[in-house]
Amino acid sequence: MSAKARVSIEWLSGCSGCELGIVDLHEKLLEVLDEIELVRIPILMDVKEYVAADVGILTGSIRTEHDRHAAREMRRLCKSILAFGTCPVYGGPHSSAYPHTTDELLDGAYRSNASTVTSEVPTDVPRLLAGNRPLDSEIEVDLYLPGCPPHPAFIFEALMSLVRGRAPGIGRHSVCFRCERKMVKTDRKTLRRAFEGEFDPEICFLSQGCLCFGSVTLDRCLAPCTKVGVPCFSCGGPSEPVILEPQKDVRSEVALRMSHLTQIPEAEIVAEIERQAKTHFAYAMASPVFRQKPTFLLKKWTQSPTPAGGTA
Amino acid sequence: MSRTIAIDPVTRIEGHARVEIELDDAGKVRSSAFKVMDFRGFETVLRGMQVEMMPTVTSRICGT
Ligand code: SF4
Ligand code: SF4
Ligand code: SF4
Repeated sequence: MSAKARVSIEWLSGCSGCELGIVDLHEKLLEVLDEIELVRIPILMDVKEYVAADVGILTGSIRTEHDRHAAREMRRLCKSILAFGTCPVYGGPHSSAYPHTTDELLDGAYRSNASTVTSEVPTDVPRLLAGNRPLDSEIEVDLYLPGCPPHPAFIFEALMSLVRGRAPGIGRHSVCFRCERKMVKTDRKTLRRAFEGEFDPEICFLSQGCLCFGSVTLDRCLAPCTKVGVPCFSCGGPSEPVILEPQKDVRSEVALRMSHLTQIPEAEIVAEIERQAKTHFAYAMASPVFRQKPTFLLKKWTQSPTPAGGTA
Repeated sequence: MSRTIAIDPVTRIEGHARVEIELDDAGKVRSSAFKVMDFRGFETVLRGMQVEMMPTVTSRICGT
């Protein structure tokens, strides 16, 4: 048997849900461990240094000077780099810090936080960079695996393809492709939120007047949310057409589809998405993917006065 | 002689942390600190988001 591929993992600014995604391989993990050797994984092993490896897996986004240093060290020591999860690919949920300055964030956490005793910002910690950013803003990435976290089926395929040096056999479908709800035309005239009234579990959320972003989201999750009554909030990041085609943007694609399925005017849907942009673009807002489209106005939408109705 | 013991990074936890223990001349602990190295700003990030988003987005503060 040939030597096992050495795999080194480092986390940047994320939540460690992606590391749990690896554990969620369950017995498949044994199959993976037949072919790889984990030489560094901070959640499981006490290896503090960066070590040479065939595959480097990075979870989390670039938020601090330490993240940047760690990413560069990993790039230097690993033959290929896998951006693992929505955080390194698009910035992740804390992407929605995009409309705020770093000082506003520190203020909200330390100086004017009612539930925090201190009013001082910690100093002896890694310096924060100007904004939250994806991994490829700093280093070259060989393979991207979005998902928050990616479903173990995709994790398995990504790891095996990297280790065996072949192209990953991964679908390029949107979440709708995996969703079992039927898109049907209805005479729904008004928008409603997921907590307003009853929803038919067999019918597409859009048909029922509720925003759902499955059609503009890449499937790296097998669509768990719409199966349990939660509309897709795009935690896996944009679908391929949105990434590749400058004229396609999340807002107009969803509004167009929904206006065809219902009697709700397209302009009304567009306006609602813009009003709630901080929610609907939360996981990938930091990504340059949104800059060359009408969504370049994201900052303006998210900075306008408190969005209408029912916000946290 | 006084000295400082640093565990950096602390491994097998979620996220990034450093522990510093300061010892005095007699080798007794003078002070100890647990320092959290990451910051994402969720306190501010969550403001203005739809309330129905809270269960799913706050679960991404810590995924373990
Ligand atoms: S991509 Fe999602 S699950 Fe993975 S570390 Fe980021 S927030 Fe956590
Ligand atoms: S838009 Fe949402 S509910 Fe409708 S089919 Fe797509 S994922 Fe399912
Ligand atoms: S929100 Fe959408 S992309 Fe994220 S897990 Fe649910 S269905 Fe998948």
